[in-house]
Amino acid sequence: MSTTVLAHAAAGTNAALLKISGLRMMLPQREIRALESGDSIVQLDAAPHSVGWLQHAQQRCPVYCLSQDLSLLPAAPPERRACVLLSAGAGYVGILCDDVSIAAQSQEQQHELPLAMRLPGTPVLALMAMGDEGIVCLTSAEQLVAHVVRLAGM
Amino acid sequence: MAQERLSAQQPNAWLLDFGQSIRAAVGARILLQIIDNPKLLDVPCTPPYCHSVVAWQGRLLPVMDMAVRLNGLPQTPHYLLVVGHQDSPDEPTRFGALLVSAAPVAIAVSDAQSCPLPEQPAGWGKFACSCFEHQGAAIPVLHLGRIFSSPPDA
Repeated sequence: MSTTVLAHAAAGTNAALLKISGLRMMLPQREIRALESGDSIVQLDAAPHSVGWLQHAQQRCPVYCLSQDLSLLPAAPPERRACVLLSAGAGYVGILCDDVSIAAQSQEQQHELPLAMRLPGTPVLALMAMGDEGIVCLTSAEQLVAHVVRLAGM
Repeated sequence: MAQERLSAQQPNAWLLDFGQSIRAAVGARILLQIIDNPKLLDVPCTPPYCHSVVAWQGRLLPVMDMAVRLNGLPQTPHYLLVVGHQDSPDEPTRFGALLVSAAPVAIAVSDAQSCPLPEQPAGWGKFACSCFEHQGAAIPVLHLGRIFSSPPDA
C-alpha cells in the first residue's frame, strides 16, 4: 500500500482541489491527512454505506464515494481513482475523488454562500468563482466529514 | 391632479410569469437585467428551489425558482431576471436572480388596484408584501428581502 502524506504547510493559502465528477471542492491542504490510490481500497467487510476501507496509522478507515450532488454512492465509478483521508474524531475517513490537485486559495475570489441556499449542516461554506471554469465549493475537512457521517448514519 | 393621472398611466411595475399560472410583480426599478439562456452553476446541498448561482458583474447571485418554492414543481425557465433590493434604506443593495417562463411585461399599477393575496399557492403570505388586481387576477408583489435574505424554508 502506498501512502502519500501531503506537505503540512503552516497555515498558508495552499488548498487541495477535489474533483468529484462535475463538482469541484476546495479545502485547506493541511486538513488532508494522506492521499491514497483508489486501488488500495479493500472492499471486504466494508462498513455500511461505505465502498471499502483503508489501513492508515494502524486504523481501519472507512472510505465513502460521493456523487457530484454530495449524496453517497453505493459503488465507486471507475474514474474515482484517488482517495483523500480526513480526520474524523480519533480516526479517519476516506473520500474518493476523480482527481486531487493543489491550488492557491484566493480570498478575493470568494463569495459567501447566499443565505437562501444555506441548508443546516451543508458542507459548502462559500463559493469561489473560476471564470469560464465555473465555481468551486469551499469546505473544510470537519464539515465534509460531518456531512458524510450524517449520510452514513454513523 | 393631471400629473398624478399621467404618472398612474406610466408603467411602474413588471409582471412576472413563473409558469403554472403563477404570476407576481416587482417594481419597475427592481428589475436590473434580463438574461436569455443563462449559464447556471449548480451548488450541492442546497434547497430545490434555489440550487444554482449565476455569475453577474463579479458577483455570484442565487437563482430562485418561485414555481418550485410555491408549488413544488419546476417551471420551464426561459429567462433569468437580475433583481436588486434593499432590506432597509440603510442597508446596501442586495442582488438575486429569478427564473421566469416568459419575458416580463411592463404594466401600470395604482393603489386603487389593491386586493387580497390569492389563496393559492398557499405560500404567498410569506413572500409577498402586497397584492393588486390586474385584468381580473390577483397579482402578488414580491418581497425580495424575504425571498433572498432569509434562510431556507424549514
